[in-house]
Amino acid sequence: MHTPPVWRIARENARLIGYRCRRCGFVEFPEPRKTCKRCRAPAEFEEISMGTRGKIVSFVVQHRLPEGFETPLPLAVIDLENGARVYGQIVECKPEELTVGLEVEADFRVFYDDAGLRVYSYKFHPVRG
Amino acid sequence: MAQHSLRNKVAIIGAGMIKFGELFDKSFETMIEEAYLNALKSVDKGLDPKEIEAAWLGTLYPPQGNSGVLLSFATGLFGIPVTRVENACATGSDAFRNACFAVALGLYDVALVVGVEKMRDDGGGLIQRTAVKQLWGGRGVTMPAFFGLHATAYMHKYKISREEIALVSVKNHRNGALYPYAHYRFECSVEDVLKAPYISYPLGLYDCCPVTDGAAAVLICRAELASQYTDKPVFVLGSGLATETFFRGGDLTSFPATRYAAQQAYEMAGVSPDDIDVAEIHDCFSITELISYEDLGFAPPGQGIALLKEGIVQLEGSKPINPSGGLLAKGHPIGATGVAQIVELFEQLRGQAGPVQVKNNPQLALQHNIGIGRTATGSVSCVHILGRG
Amino acid sequence: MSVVGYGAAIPRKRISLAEINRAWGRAGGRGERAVAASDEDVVTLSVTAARRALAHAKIPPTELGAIYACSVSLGYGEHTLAGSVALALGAEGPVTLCDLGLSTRSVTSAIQCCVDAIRSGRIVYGLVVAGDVLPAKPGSESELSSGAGAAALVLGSGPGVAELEGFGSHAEGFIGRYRPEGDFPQMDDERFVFQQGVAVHVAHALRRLLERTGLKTDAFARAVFGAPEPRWGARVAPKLGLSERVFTLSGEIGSAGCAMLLLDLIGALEQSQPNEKILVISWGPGGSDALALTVRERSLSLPTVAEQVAHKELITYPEYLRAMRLLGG
Repeated sequence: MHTPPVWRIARENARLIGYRCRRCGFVEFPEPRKTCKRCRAPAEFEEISMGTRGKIVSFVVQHRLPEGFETPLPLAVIDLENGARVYGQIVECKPEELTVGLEVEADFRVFYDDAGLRVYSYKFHPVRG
Repeated sequence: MAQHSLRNKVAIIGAGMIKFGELFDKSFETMIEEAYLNALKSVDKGLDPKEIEAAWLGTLYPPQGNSGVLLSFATGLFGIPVTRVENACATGSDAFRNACFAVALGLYDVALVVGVEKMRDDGGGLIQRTAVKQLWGGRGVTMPAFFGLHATAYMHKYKISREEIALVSVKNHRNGALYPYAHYRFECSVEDVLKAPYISYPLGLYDCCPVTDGAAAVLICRAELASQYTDKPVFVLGSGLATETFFRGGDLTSFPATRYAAQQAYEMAGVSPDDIDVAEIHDCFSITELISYEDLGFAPPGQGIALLKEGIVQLEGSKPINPSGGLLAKGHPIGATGVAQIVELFEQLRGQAGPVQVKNNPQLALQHNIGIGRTATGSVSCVHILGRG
Repeated sequence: MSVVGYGAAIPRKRISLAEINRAWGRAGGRGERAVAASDEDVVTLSVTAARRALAHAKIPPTELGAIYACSVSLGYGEHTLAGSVALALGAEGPVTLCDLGLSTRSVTSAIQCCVDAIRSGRIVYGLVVAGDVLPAKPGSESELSSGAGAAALVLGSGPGVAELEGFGSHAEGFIGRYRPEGDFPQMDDERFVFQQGVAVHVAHALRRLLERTGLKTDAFARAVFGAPEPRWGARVAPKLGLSERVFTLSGEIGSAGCAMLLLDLIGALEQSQPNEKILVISWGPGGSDALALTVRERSLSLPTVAEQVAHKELITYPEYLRAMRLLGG
């Protein structure tokens, strides 16, 4: 939450805040917009909580990443309960547990280290009974 | 609606490239220079560099600043407009497209297009830039991950196995082994593909294109002037370009940007997917080629694999795809890729493709790129249709 | 004055003491300790605990007037844990932020500060949050007890799950255990620290609490004891006549620094019936605080401490070194 580009969206990232198009329901994240990607037109947006639960649309397991990432690292595209689609790393999950449609829940985690200052955002773990 | 079209207004009269590979001994400018000289040499009736009235340079991450002046330094072509274009993996093809606009409009009689990328001076650089410190987009997403996400979704929806997807790599490496300009000139088996280490599951090493240096150049002119330069020109019939993001929706089993770009190009050319005789399409990863068969209209959704199993897209088949070995074998120097595909199709349509010449006497060819931008959150596709004069 | 809600966050990764001993060619070892994953730290655990506490208290973040945050392992000499929690909760605006640390005792100091602010009428609700991921030198004694976790309490003047009955404190300039910045923790002779420090300070603080509240030690159904070394609680309990009543999770998760006292308190609350009393004692460099609580309502904050303790993934010593970034990377 330190350099300007990180600070501008720190709130949205920390609290999973999105902006919903009042016309078509498309959820914009992380920046508020005045034009809708789905309507392809100027639109009004309302701030919403994107919810903390979602389903995996698709996933990969990253095996080759630069230093700073722990591999193998599961990574997914997730549809959240309130209509947003996001990228998310999956934690506390063995690669073989991953499936399309798996239910996941958001977790607040360290994202990366920016010159000694840690940057935080959400990741996801499988929903467990 | 649009009043004008590119169809039959622009001719390709020369095309050349350099052998792709890990070119530690060649600088960015040396690569441009060699590709340019090869293109000049290929003009059957000759072309004086003084006839070149404008140039376009397609490159993604040039080493010494971003301007078109890089091309002038490499070719000596100062004093004319030189425009640098960058549009992800469609960089080279979009540079070509923009050059075609100017020539079709009649602003210039002859123009040069060069695509180039120096990737091996900074081996891990591109990956680093995509994966790290991108809070809003990256999240550890790399290029293999973006396409791997599509592979997982496609395999899940259509019950396709890694073995089946491997047929793309096997075919393209077989072609690449024959193609003199390819980075990788070896064949591989399905077993090789499956046994290779994972890069981003479900994609393994042989499902991925290499990190390659390269450059390619084409010379174009107004169609009515083509006969001054060659008796075998290749004409631009159609061109399309579009962007998309899966954050708008979709199940990740298609690249809709390709569908939009292809529709634009087919409409402009007045042809259908069935009319295409040979194609150079974007196989940055094995899955990309398989899905692109469907996005380009060569097969219905979920049935692209049949084209491989039935031999249709093999070098000897009725619709050979990636006779050059594609990006998987030839390599993918980003800015050079689209231009090199056009170089290859120019030779195929003129019957000069040597060991990889297709046998179906091609009249119509298709060139395609699908790339990703905005730290792997959006995609951009470019499609061209070329025809024999 | 009440605890209106509480929340806990315990990392899922655990290492057994036997596994640590095996790595160093030593035999034996009972119990386990919690290990933060490489992407879990004081901030993430504290935020998670604070979110659960707010949900349990059923109050929106905008109702918080102050955030008191404690840690001895934030990893920065200059930073803010309280502010980081405020951002993640959505408790920005007219909120007092107070960062405490340096001593595990600071968690009870934070509770006192929060109670004072509520009593004065300056704030209506306050959040006390504590989080630690304790570093330990590989092969050292403290590696066997250095755990991780966070916990948070929402305090308010109305009714709640437990009522605060009073405090007793004892302060001295005794340090005993310390950690130079960027280094691993160090301790003077442990018997010296325990006998001349811990046992003396705790007895004074407890005596003052009992005098102030008029309670006797018999009145407490359970006692929790926070200190950098978890075994000190078990050792001091007989001296205070509390032997059988000390509740601790340290056998399952090791010590979670400042958070340990609150985690143990939450664990004790989960097992308590209305009207039972809980004794809370903290020790750290500088002395000891004691406070008394009366349980008013049995209300669980989810996931419970018991669930989080059970929900675990045992890791090997090399995996532990990787998670703690002791191998680089």
